[in-house]
Amino acid sequence: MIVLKWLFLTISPCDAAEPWQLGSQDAATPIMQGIIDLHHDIFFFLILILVFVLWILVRALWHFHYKKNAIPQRIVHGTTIEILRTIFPSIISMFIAIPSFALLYSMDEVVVDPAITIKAIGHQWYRTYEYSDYNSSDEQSLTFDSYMIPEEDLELGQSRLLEVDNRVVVPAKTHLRIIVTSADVPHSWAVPSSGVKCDAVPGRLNQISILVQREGVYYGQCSEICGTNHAFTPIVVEAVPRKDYGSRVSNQLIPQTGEA
Amino acid sequence: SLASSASSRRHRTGEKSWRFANFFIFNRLRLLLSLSLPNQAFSSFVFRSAMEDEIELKTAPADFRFPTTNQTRHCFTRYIEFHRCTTAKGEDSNECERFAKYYRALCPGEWVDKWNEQRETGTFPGPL
Repeated sequence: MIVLKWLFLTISPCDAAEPWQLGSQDAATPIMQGIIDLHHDIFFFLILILVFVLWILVRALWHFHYKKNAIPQRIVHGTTIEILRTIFPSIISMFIAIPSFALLYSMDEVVVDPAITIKAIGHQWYRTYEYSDYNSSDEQSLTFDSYMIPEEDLELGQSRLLEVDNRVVVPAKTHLRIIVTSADVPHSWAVPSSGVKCDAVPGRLNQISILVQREGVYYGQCSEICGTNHAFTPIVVEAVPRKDYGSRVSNQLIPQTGEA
Repeated sequence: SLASSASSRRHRTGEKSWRFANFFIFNRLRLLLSLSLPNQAFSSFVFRSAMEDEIELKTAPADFRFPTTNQTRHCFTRYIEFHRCTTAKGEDSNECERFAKYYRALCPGEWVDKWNEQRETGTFPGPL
């Protein structure tokens, strides 16, 4: 039974861009789940309005065709319909606005102190990640650069323009603070599955709070034009179980804690 | 019939629209309950790595003075607080180490290096 389950019910979440993809990538954070739910809420009203408007439009074109109905009926006033067509759109706008503002303000709310701070610094045309929570001096404890793997060096199964040599390793189910900045020109740190897109502005530190709810590898791309290789600076976030986080991070680079 | 279907839709959407707020409030309460460390200034989780070092996951806490996305002044303020603390309490005071951890967590290394140089040359543009 378990074998059957593994064969047929393995779920492979969409955490990277797929060819001809129409919908969102699968959510890995509460923010992204909120965004997807809001999208579904709004889409419902969108379809209602679309069908209504198309129906009225087609009906008007059909019934007032110049050959069938040469004399168009002129109606200038109609108090009831004018009131209705003012009230109903306002009510629909309110139904769209309420979940939208609820999500917007809850996205910004930092309710739990983060457990980790990771700095994502954009360069032309690579990223630097700093994990500086553990230094005992001003020397950085863990800093590494993240370059895209060029197409000729890709292995079978890797995504073109999305893979990097050093991934950002984060613990899953942990509140993270990501500080996004840039060292030269504006970039943007975007990971769609996590619902994150944050501009990296030189001279400014932008903070985003995320909680990655499941382990996995999440891909994103630079989202602010930054020069020739803007399309070739992807972001890869790897969420590992919290107990493996320490060993993964210490294996990534030899830490320099305590060295002058 | 349009009015009645709109009102029934309003009821269903009314529930859904507060799900976002409730979701986050619920998670906040759940996490506050799971963090059985009420008196500490920062959340911390302790586990052992393969190297038998205890790595505590803790970092600079969210500062209510800087509630927005822009944390530039937060980093700058922590750096200044650390140096004011060392001038007031001496170079190797343990209390100042807290501020040092905060600014190192928040500020990019290049900024810290640049400010250290500016302090040495006396051109640091801040109220040290």
